[in-house]
Amino acid sequence: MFFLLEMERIVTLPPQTFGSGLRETLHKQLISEVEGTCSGKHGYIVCVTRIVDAGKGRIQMGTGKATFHMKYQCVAFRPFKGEVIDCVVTQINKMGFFADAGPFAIFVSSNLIPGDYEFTSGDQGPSFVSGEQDVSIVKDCEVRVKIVGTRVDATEIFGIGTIKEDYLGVLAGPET
Amino acid sequence: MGERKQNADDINDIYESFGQSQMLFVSDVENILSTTLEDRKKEEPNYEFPNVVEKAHTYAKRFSTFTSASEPSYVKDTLSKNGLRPHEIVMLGNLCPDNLDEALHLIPTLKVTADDADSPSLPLLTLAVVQSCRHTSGKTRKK
Repeated sequence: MFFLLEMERIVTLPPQTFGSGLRETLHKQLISEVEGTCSGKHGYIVCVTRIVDAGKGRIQMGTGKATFHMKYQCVAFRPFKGEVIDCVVTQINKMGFFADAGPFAIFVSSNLIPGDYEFTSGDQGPSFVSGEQDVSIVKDCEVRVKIVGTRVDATEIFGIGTIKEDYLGVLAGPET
Repeated sequence: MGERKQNADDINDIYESFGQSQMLFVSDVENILSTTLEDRKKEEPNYEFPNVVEKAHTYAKRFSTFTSASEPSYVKDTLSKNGLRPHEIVMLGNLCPDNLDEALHLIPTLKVTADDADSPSLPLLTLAVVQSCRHTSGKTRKK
């Protein structure tokens, strides 16, 4: 799920950046330090939307650098166990398939795919095909997945999902 | 040693970490990212966005459900006045279920909220909003 968060960070700038463009440099430095990062608490920080308060710079003794206690607003993405999410299939093998919901990668094991789906590896590439309903899971198709577990690493969050419940499964074919 | 919290990342515990934060529709994210990234490109045409930002933007463009800028606010205002919690409203808007049964399956806490609200019209209201979302998004699940 996406959130609009207000967060704080201490940003340090070297003396050569002091001057008329200091605020812009500060903004760019914050963006470079924060955007794209991931934490277990807040998930992925997708985008810094605005600076709420840049704070007043304090000069560090000895180094001459200035530290700014900044408050900023950002868009974050954090997945939750039990959440139902739409995603795009990226890779398929006989063990299951991988799908992306933005920066968040989910693996759906073949054990959590309905039993009427069978893995096939044809000319069009690997896929899971449902014989009863003539529906297939192929690369780049859209699927609705329920998250059953998440794991947070240093730089990413990884999820396990299922489509073995009511109202889950293929939404649409690949984008043309 | 302190007791380790189980299921700390469960959707039912969402308000422990994000109770003070605004929850966004995918359409909101698409609007925010499109505007912000466009402004940055104007300032610096050669700026390269991190992979996470590009992926989030592509995802938001593909799965955005509202077509007009006023619809997300209308849906949030209407449903929050009728007692739905923020995560329920956002999931309804993002998933656009076809009917009430699907809505209750995809968002189980919706049933609890409806029961607690003790309002016989809440399920119908939810369904009405759901139907308007479905009309807007045009997405239907393959059966």
